[in-house]
Amino acid sequence: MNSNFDREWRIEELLDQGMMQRVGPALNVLLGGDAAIVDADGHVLWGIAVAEARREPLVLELEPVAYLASQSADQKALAGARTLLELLLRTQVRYKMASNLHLEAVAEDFESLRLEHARLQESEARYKALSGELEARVRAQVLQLEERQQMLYSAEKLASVGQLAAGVAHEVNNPLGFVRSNLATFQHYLGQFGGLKARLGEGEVAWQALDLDFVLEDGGDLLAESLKGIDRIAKIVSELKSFSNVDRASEEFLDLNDCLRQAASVIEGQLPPGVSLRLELLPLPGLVCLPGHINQMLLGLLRNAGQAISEAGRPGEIGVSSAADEQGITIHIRDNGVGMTAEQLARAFEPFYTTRPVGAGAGLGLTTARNIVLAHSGRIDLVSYRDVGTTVTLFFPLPK
Amino acid sequence: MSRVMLVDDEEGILKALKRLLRVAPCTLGNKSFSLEIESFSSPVQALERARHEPFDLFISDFRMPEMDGIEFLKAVKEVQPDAARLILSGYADLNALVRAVNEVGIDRFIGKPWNDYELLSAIAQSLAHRDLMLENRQLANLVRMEMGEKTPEAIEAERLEAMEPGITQVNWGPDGSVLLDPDR
Repeated sequence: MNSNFDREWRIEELLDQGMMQRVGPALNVLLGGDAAIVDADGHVLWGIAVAEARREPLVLELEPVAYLASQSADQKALAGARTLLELLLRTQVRYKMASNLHLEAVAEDFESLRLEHARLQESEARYKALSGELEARVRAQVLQLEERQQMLYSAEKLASVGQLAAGVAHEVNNPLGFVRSNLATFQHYLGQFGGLKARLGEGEVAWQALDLDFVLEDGGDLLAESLKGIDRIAKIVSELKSFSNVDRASEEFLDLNDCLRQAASVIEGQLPPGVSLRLELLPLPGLVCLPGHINQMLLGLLRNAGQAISEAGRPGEIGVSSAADEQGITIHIRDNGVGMTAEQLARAFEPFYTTRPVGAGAGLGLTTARNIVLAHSGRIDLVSYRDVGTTVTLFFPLPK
Repeated sequence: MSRVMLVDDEEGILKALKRLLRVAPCTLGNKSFSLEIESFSSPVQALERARHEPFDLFISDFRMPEMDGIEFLKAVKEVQPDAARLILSGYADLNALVRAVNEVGIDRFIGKPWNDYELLSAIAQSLAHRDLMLENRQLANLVRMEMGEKTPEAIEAERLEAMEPGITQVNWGPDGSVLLDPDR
C-alpha cells in the first residue's frame, strides 16, 4: 500500500503509450496536421514541438500538467482540442483513482485477511504445541501413576510373598525340628536296645539296668508324635499347593446353589453336636467359575463357622443364604459362634495367621478363600463381633 | 544342677527337647552340666513361673501367640538379669534378629530344625559363660572389699537385689509413706 489513490498524476501516466498512439493521430487530424504534447518540464510526449507553435496548457487540479502545442491549428481549434484533452485526462484520472481505490481496498482486505490468517495460524500452532505438551504431560503422569501403582502392587505382592515364606518356614520348620530331633533320639534308644544283646544272660536285670521300659514307652510316643509332625508337613504342603493353584484350573458354567448344597452335605456329617445348618437358597443364574476351588472355599468357610460355634460352647446355627440381582450373586454364611476381636479381624486374611492351637489350622483357609474370590473378580467381606458371631459375605459379579 | 526353662507353643518341640536333654550329655571341655528342665507352651505362664523361681537359662521360640519370644525374653531379663537367653525359632526376619540382639542381648539364635549337637554345645557354652561371669563378679567384689571400696553390706544388698530385683529399692509416696508393689 505504497501509493495513494488521490495522489498527483503525471501526464505520462494518464496518457500512456497505447493511449498516445490513438489520441495523437486524432489530434493531428483535428488540428490540421500538426500537434504536439509537451509535459510541464518541456519533454515532448507526442509529435514534434516547434518553438514558435501556439501552446495551450492542459490544466488538472489547477495546475498545468502539460501543454498542447500546434503550429497549424488556430486558437479556437486548439482551445477545443485542449478542452477535449482535459476531459479525457480527467476521465483518465477518475478511472485511475477508482481502479486504484478498488485495488487499495482489495489489497487492504487481502492484507488484513493475510494478517488475520497469520494470527490464526500462529494461535493454532500455539494451541497445537500446547495440546501436544499437555498430552505429553498427561502421558508422563499416567506413566508415573502406573509405575507407582505397579511398584505398590509389587511391593504388596512381595510383602505377601515374604509373609507367606515366613509363615511356611515357621510352620514347616517346627514339625521338622521335633521330628528330626526325635529320630536322633530314637537312634540312641535303639543303641540301648542293642546293648541288651550282650547282656541277654542277665535277663530282667539287664532290662532294668538299661531302663528299657522307659525307652520302649517313650519310643512309641516319640514315633507317634513324629508321624503326626510328618502328617502336618504334608498337610501344609498340600494346602500350599491348592493355595497357589487358584489361577490354573478348568472353568465350568454352574449353579452356585448346587455347590452350596454339596458343601453343606459334606460338612453336615462333621458338625459337632448342638450345631445345626440351615440353607435359604433363592434361585441363582449360572456362573462361569472354577468348581473345585469354589467347593474348597465353601467347605472351608462352613467348617470355620462350625468351629466358631463349638468353641463358643453353646448350641448354635450356621445360616447359609444366597440371592442374585442384576449386579451379581451374593452369598452370606452366618454363625453365632465366638466371633473375632477387632485385631483378629484385621489379620484374618493374613497367611498362616490362626487363632487355633498349633496344628489345628494352618491359617491358610481365609487367605485361600480370598484368592479364590479374587480369581472370580468378586469380593469377600467379614463382619464379626466377639461372642456374637461372624458373617462372611461373598459377592460374584455377573458378566454384563 | 542347672535349671533350664523351655518355652514354645508347640508341644512336639517341647517333648523332643526334653527327650534330647535327658539322654544327651551337655558338656563343654571338662565341664559337664546336668540339666533340670521345665517347659511351658504359654509364654504368659512361663513368665509367671520366672517371677517366682530362679533359672539359669531360658530357651524361647520366637513366633508364639500371646507374645513373641523377644517380648518374653525382655520381660524375663527384667526379673532375672543374670540368666542366659537363647532363641530357638523356625523363622525370624532380620528385624526380629536385630531386636533380639540389641534389646534382649541373646547369647545365641538357633534355627529349627536344629542340629542336636549344636544345640547342646550352645546350651553348655551359655551356661559356662554365665558361671564365668558370676564368678568374675564375686572375685571382683572380694577384691573391692579388701581394698575397702565396698562394704560387705553393699555386697549383700547386691546379692539380695540379684535374687529379688527391686528389694533394695524403696518407693516413697509424696506424703512420706512407703509404697509396696502389689505383685511382688
